[in-house]
Amino acid sequence: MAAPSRQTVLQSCGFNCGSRCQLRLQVEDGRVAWVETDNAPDSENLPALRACLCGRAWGHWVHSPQRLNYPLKRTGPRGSGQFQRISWDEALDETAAQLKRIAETYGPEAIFFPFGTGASAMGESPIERAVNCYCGHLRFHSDYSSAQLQAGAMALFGDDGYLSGSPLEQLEHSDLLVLFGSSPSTTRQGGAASGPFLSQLRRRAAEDGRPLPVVSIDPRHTAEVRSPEDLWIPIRPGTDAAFVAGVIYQLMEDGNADEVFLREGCVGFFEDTLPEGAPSGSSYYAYLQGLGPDGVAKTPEWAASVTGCPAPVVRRLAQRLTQAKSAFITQGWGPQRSEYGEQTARSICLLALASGHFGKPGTNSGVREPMRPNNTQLPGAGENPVRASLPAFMWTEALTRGTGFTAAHGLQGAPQLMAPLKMIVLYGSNCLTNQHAAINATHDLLFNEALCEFIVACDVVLTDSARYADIILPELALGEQENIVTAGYSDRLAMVRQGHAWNHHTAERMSSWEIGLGLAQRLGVESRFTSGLEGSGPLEHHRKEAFALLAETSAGEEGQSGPCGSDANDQAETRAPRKSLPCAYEAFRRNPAACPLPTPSGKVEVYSAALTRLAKTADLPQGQAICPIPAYVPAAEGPEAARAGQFPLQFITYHGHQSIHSNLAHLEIMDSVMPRALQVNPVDGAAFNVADGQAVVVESERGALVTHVHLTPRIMPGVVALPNGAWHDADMEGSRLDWGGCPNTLTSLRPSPIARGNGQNSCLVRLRPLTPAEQTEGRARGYDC
Amino acid sequence: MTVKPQPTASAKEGSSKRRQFGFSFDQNLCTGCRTCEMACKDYHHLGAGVAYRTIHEFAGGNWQQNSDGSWQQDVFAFYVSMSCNHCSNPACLRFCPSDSIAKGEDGFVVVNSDTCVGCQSCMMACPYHAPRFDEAIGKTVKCDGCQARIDQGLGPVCVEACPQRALGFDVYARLSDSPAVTEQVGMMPDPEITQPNYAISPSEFACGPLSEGVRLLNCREV
Repeated sequence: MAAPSRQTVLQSCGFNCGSRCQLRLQVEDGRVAWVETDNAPDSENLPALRACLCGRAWGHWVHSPQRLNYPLKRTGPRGSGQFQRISWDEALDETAAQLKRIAETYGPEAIFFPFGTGASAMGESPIERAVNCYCGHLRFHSDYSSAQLQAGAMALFGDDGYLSGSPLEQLEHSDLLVLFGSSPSTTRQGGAASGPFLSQLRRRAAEDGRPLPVVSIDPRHTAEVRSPEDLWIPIRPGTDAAFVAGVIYQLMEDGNADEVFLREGCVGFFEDTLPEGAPSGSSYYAYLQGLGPDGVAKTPEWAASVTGCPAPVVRRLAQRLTQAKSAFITQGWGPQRSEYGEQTARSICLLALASGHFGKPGTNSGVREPMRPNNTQLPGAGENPVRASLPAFMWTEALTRGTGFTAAHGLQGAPQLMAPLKMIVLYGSNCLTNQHAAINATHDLLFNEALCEFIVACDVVLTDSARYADIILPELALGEQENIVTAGYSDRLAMVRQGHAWNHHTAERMSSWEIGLGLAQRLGVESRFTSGLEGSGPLEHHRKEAFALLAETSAGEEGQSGPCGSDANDQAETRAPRKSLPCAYEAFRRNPAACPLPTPSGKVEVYSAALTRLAKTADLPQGQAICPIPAYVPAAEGPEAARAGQFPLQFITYHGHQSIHSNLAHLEIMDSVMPRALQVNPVDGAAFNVADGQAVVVESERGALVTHVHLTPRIMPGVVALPNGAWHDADMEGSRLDWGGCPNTLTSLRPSPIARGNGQNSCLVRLRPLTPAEQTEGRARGYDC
Repeated sequence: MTVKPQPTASAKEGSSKRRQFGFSFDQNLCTGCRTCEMACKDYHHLGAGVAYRTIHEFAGGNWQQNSDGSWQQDVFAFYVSMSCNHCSNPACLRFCPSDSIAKGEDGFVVVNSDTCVGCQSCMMACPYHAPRFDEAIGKTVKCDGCQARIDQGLGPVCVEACPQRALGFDVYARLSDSPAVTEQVGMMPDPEITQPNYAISPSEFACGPLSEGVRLLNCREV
């Protein structure tokens, strides 16, 4: 069967689930004929890095009609998608000239690189390196993934929670797994990532006669709920803090809370541990007992009225936590992606603290499993002389406010912006429109060329965000270039893989390193750009780093090195079992006084004095508040508002199996394998008169999209859900109805109060049938309606 | 339409020359991710219109609202990854009027596309909906067990793809040699009809009284 011209190329899947699965590309005549992956025999400690469906669709992605082949220059209005082909010299000359002009006119703070994880996902951007060598740029901090959790963990534990959680292997000591909005089998589905690892841990537990049931607290029924011993607890989106309050109330009531630790290791759980200056009645205990300002006891009955979870089920979780020897309590990043996500994130951690499942083998701190060090393909972005930093989500607000954007809006490193935001450099980022929020409002900001004067995008495919660029620089994908990749989020392995270039001869794409170098030359900073790399080059630089990381993270057992497949025997990958990590905060739990946390008090700050101070200075949106304890705060678009207003349904997004954010979401073949549709409970289907398979319009205050209804009991009534990532597709000069079904057509720019993070899961909608005119338009577009 | 005589000797026994391969499926591991389906489409160049392997999503249970507005439910779900089961007594073969379907040396049920007339009788006969119509060529196509890969000592592409290791492949007598496996779960047809070579380790939700009221949720996809 093997065609003589076929070549196997060892490569890596570079999408931002972060798992870096193995691809063995079957290349024929410069095209990927199909994708093989790691089919080496499995072992418990060295699992095969099998790619999921996203890696399997990799060939379809690089050869998709939306692939960028040549540098482009905009010819129509911003966002119109009208471009003409230009040469690399023209594209880089224009980009460098605009960069110089804007830096000289406004200063480096006028230049912004939004958050992004698409394109090659090769770590820090060489384009950023070139700009840093020249003048620097406005920074951002945090991200679109877990901003509220980071801020919540910082207030509570004094770290951002990215690395401090317990690793999944701690489940070997657990007898209960409590998941808040977490589905590793979807978010990390690669063969050596946490999804399959969790299955392996559960199977091993069953074989050892040590059951490891799952409790999943989630508006959606996920594949983690697999047996009758598991328990699905659906709650209304954004009400986790109310649910937790009900559970802790019951634990206290029954005398089953870890009161000794709550008193000794925490600040402000009880009144007598409140920090100086905190008003009486402001402790979490007072909140629970109705002794605080709201005067309402947080009984399971109260929790039921807020969350939609019956009071007996709230009690049942309290009971199961009491019976468990070691419960592993964790959260995904969906719950915190809401208006009061900091409250949500902190409350889940508080459940671990209050139930005593904290700091002991088999337990966790309530945050997600730790993110292991990822690859840094190229030498870093270099030193950025600008100190000012925006919360990643707040660039639209900064674009609107200009120099009126201050520390009160979340700016760090400076009291206020020194320059208005005038230039955007998109590097593998679809966070201008598609993956940001309120696309229609954001379009209007970008459309106005007097605000942002120049946008340049560097990407692999023509995303909706790249359509707003004035110049587009087409990049080679990670898996088309010579590269060095480490194991990333494949938790169980330490690994170094060298990928090989194969697609240089088609079209006019460049590696991001070549693009960065081209810019550096035009900015007159080439020697700074390449300094430290003389005689070796960027790949060699990274190879050293990658092997150092391998040595540091491997368990020290025999490493496995060798050929990968019969016709790839000169292409090696080195891997070893990953070193185990201890459970979260073990030392602190054992002796809080001797091993203090990096919080101001050294303890867990259930009541955060820092947040009380922030509340005094922050300029918050109308009606928003900062709460020093992890209490439930109703969102502007939460369940209470849904009951009262014109938009009766809570709309949430989730990571579907079928795309990594917006990567791959445009592929017809992916849609055929797993079509996108709005999950609607049959109860709501009847109430709102929509049928399974029907095309509907979903409307929020900010926009409308078209999608198909999927009636399923696997979502809670009152809640509808779409997988994230669909590509926005609307006539922005006309109806603006989004036929692509991108969730961010509906979502809000309203940031969370502490992190100033993206709260897409606080969004209310209504459903309606398509009008006859819309049906006509849909049919003309080939839409099934 | 003529009905052909059924094979007399069971191909399940296996011999040095003839053997019967089959798939296995651990339902407790499947998360419905569809990597098997995508890998199959990618390897066999099927495009958007045709799938040899599909994921069937089943769910059951009901919702009821309490007087305080909270919700009671007993929802459960499970998946079946389904392709051709390379049956020992394949209905497609029996109903093919042009003798275009045969059992190969490894027990795979294969379509001879040179002689297939595209009448789709096999599609109507197969209780597993395995044969599919390829409009581009006007003929029936189906899973061939990745015969070319088996000949090279590899596994079927779907089995090698499964990130959860839910799919397996072997001589069927080995896969089915356990009281824990079954050839029928959920709404699947009686295995006596075609003797499928598909060994399922079932989810507790998929058999017995728990499975009552189960519905196929994604009928348009499969």
